[in-house]
Amino acid sequence: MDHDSGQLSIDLTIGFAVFMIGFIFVVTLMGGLLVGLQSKTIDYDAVAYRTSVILVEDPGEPRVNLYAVNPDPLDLSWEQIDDPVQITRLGLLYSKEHPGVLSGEKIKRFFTPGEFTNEEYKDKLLLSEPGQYPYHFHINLSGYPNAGNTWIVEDTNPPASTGYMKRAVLIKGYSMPITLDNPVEYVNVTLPLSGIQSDRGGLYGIYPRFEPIEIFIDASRLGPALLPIDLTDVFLTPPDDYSFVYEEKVPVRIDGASTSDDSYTMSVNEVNDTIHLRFEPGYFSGYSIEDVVLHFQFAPPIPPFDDLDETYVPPPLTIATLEVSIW
Amino acid sequence: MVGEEAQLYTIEGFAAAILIVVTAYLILNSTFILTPGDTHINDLQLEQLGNDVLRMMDTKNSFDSTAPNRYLQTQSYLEQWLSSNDPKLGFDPFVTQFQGYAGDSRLKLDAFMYYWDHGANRMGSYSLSPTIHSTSHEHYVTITKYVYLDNPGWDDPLGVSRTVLLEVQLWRD
Repeated sequence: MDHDSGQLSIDLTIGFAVFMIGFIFVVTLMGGLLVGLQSKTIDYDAVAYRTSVILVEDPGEPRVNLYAVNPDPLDLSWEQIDDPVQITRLGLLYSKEHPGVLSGEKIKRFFTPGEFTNEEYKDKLLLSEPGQYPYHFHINLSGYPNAGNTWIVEDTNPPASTGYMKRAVLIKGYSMPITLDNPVEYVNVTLPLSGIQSDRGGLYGIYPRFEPIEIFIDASRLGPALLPIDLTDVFLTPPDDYSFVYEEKVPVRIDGASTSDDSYTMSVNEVNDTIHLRFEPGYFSGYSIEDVVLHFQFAPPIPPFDDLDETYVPPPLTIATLEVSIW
Repeated sequence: MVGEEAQLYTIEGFAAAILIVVTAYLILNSTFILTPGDTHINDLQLEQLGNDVLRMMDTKNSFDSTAPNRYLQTQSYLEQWLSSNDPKLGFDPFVTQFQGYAGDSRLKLDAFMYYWDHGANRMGSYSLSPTIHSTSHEHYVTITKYVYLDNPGWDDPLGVSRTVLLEVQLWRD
């Protein structure tokens, strides 16, 4: 009997030791199994995805409803507000009725250097309190306004490994190119302010209250024999009476020269290359709803020549790629 | 007598302990390996890009003011392609355009169209790719888009417009 109880206690000791070794083995192993769940890359990819959703699928805040029946003339979209404090969120979507189409104006404001500080980008994009989530970001948009162009916003250079999201988008631009192939005295551009929204719908029309109208005249094709040409006047008239000239100054830039907003006075100007004309959003708010015709008058060339008549239409939607890196 | 019993208990103890350890290991291992988390993020990337591209293809780039009605004025590439009489012929241009929109020429595609067959009163499907791509299908993602079609040339007693489901299988080669 004595021997039996002695044997049992040895069995128990060995069994317990084996169990403990096994238990320690399993506990050690579990730590290793959980390592995969601690990975930071998943988190950064999710933040990059969230940021891309804010940029591509959201029109930002404040925003305007393009299809409002009685729009409040004081409503402004965020890209028209100068003070960043009044902007809540930076979304690039043109309108929530048209998913996947970004606004060229919002892109211009968002990517222009100096418009926002890095802290403002973080507050209004990553939805974080200042300093709370110190994410770094690098956002680039390639393919707009032309295929080789890239816009970049970043706070520092990205490291080799970041959270990443790529989105393919369409962009609604506002710039209509006109090429001068032959000498002219007048280029008449009809701006169909009354009809173009209702006829075409938001995506293909223009909303002069919220969107600019841009016209590029490329004169360089005329060749060195005819250049420079003298631009003598730019003015606006109603469509039915070209002699009734509206008083407003017309915002013209010649050969890429920079100009401040109040220096639109026209005199005789030599044009070697391009004429760039941009009506800011709301420029035509005093014109009620009717069409206007924009006239470019040049010094009369040697006959024979024909005047060039055009109607403003927004350019086709541009294909572009937006990439977001977060780390 | 005494010695034999002792041997048996020890062996049983060992066997039971190993059994418990192996079982615990297998259970824990299988449970946790099921949620690696990393691979489906890559798929999400491709899936989102594919959805973006299909949405772009279902938006017309510019207004066609010469077309006779509103549907044709804003008819998208997908609408035009799928309502043509033989969409199989348009598959290769579709792939090229898809790669251009996505900015990635390594993307490969298969496409199917699902529609309601009024005559047979059941769902029908139609393979849009002219050749069967049987390889490299392991890690594909599936993206779908409903497309509204309207072709006055169709001879159908129930009307000339219908909605079809375009299903695209997308993978990187």
